[in-house]
Amino acid sequence: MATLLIVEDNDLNRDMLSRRLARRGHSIVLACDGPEGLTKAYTTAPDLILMDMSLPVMDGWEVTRRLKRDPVTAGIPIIALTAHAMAEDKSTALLAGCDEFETKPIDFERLIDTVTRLLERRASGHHAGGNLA
Amino acid sequence: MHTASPHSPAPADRLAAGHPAPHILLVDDEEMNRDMLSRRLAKCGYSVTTAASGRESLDALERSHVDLVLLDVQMPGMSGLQVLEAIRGAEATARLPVIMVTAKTQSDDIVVALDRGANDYVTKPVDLSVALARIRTQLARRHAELRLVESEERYALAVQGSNDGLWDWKIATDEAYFSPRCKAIMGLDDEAASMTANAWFDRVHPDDFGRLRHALDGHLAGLTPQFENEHRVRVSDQQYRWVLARGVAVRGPDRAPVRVAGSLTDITEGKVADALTGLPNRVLFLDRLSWLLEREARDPERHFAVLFLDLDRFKDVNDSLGHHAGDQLLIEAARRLDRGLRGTDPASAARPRTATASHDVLARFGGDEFAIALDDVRTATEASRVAKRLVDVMLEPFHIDGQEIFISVSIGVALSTPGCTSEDLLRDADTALYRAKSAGRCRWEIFDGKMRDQVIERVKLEADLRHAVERGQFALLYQPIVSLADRTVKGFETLLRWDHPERGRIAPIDFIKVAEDTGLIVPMGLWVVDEVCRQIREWESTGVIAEQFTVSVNLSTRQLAQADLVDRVAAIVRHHGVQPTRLEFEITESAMMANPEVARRLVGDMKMLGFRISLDDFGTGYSSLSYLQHFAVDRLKIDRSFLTDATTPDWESHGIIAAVIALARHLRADVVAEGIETSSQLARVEALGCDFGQGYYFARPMRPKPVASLLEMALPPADVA
Repeated sequence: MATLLIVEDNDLNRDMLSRRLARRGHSIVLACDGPEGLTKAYTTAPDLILMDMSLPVMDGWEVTRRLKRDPVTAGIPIIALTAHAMAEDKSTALLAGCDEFETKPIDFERLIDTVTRLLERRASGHHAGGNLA
Repeated sequence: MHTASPHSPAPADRLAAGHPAPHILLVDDEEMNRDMLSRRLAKCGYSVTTAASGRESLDALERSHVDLVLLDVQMPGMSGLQVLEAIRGAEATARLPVIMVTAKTQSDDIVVALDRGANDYVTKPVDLSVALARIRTQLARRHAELRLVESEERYALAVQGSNDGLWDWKIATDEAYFSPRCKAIMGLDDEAASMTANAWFDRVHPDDFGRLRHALDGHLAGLTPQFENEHRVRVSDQQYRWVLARGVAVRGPDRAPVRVAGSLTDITEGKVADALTGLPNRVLFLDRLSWLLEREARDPERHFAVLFLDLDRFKDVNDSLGHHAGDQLLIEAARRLDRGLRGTDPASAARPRTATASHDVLARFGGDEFAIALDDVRTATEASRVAKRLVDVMLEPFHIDGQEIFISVSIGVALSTPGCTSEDLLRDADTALYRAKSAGRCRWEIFDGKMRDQVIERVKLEADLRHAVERGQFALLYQPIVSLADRTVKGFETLLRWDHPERGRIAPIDFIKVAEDTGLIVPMGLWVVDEVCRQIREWESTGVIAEQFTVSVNLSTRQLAQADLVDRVAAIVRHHGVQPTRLEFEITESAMMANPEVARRLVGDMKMLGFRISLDDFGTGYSSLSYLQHFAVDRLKIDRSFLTDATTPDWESHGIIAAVIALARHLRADVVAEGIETSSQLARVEALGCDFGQGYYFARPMRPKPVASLLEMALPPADVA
């Protein structure tokens, strides 16, 4: 069972994401805005982060950039969640250091596949960042 | 041999716009003729190479690309006729336009030359305007012929089937040809005459363009034998089609690609359909949804609903009967849902909606999840009618692999509202589905504002709960467990209370479920063990508790699944220096039966370390005696409902309590009756032979301080073992 950190400001979205991922046997940690997401990434050492990109206070891009800059958290795979299906968003997300990119409305089957794949990759130690934790 | 370049504007009869000047090979043994004619042809825009003999001309043909040959018939050595024969005999030049140049008097030669494949002739002295006219004609004919060959190549490259579009892209000029079918697939205007490849590339979905470019560049660079790529092309403002593009580059002598030609196949059908059920998939569903949303924006009078469906306990069927049976079940379920949606079920009346209800879409989202867009639905009642029919249509047993399977469906419904997005609708329908499942499955729920409020309430509670863990807003209360033999307190059950800063004290029933769902139960549970250990040490140091005294702590289903639970608990207990026998862990019968294997191992590990185990809420689950024998529990706690539930007749609860006691004796466990509130209830359980009692009749859950005074007061010397 992996610990997933969900950073999402919309109550209803957060509820659905956490409920559905918990049903797949994952342990869920929630954060409602950027700073909380950043803090939780350090305090709960999640195996993977699902990051909404349009967050209040500090947006998902900034949180991602900060996490990817720090060797301690750089190894945690991040899946960017965004409402826009535009190619620019995807490249921005990948440039910010996100490992994967999903657009809303979330395709859960695909999201689960992505989560599983990233967790497996992390478990086998193939992630470029290499988590020091 | 030498080559003259054109110095005048391009002639009208060039092979194609943008192409280099047509290249003419002029073969004549007389130098003066060669010079004069080549200069005049060059002035007219042709590129001319001259050859002084037959042999030289054949060399020139081998070395460079020639569009037309002007060939003198009478030459020393190899004659013009012999050269003609050689030209026609070689595969590369078999169809090359050749115009013979001959003296007027040599009519026999002309006949022979035409016989042997010359395309035309001019007579000496050459009349330039006649020569130019014939050259133009021959070049035009050759051009037409080449176009025919190109299109033959196109067909050769294209896969079978008239449904494929054909395309051809000349790289140097960026000229693109799209067959009518190709234009139709891409939504291009058929009238548009000349096009560039951008007519295609500009329509490619931004997410797919990178891959297309990559595949194409790879092939042009010679890395792949064939170009092949699947991508989406925009055919209208909001609509994309999936196409499969295939092609092969035609390369020049230097291997550089000159053209790429190939086919375009519309694979939207395959991309938007679910392979197992043939239903539209998520991609198509979202496409329809955005169409419906746009329509609602234009025409606010027309509404629709989104239904989210999920087969109840499908996973169990899949796990126990295998994937094949699971797939069969999904196919049949899809069929029934379709039938239920159409209302062709004779038992149900067609739903009273407009004739345009054909915009309904039933889609499979993957796994056992289905979604429906129900067009022209205005009220919750209308949506309910359809939802009911869908629930009903699943009630009949399924016959899969000779087995009869019962499976039901739960449905969440969200009605469209002005300005909502597909994301909102799917999420709200999902929330309603979750509600339907929690309410007992095989039913439907319609999302409303109240549900939204409840979700937000729950989410707030969740956030508060997380803070509560961090800020230590929890407290423990202790409820005495009393020996019925001598009415002395033999232990306590620990109960968790949450002192919410704004809402006051909150009972476990209002937050344990949220704590379980969020996993917060794990840190909370460890905190409880830590606090209980600290309290036990405090009581021990003041000497208020006897040696046999136990304190029990509840473990939830989620905690049972916590892999390191035993280690963590053991570490805490060791840290405080508490005797493990002081601690009893209560596991509900249903939690234990939810995953008997895990529970059995956990109980075994706990017992090994010296902890006591009791089965809580006993009698409500369906555990069998044979199962219980494997668990080696120390105590059974009879569920309070057998004492307090007025709907259970006395004789029935009486029988159950007696049976539980008999079972406990068999398992060498003792029995606690919970929820004793009155003296008559006490008398009943006492008469049946219960060992211990717990309930308001004896004491409510208490704070640690009154507990200490209670223990001090009840500390007759006899009670100390």
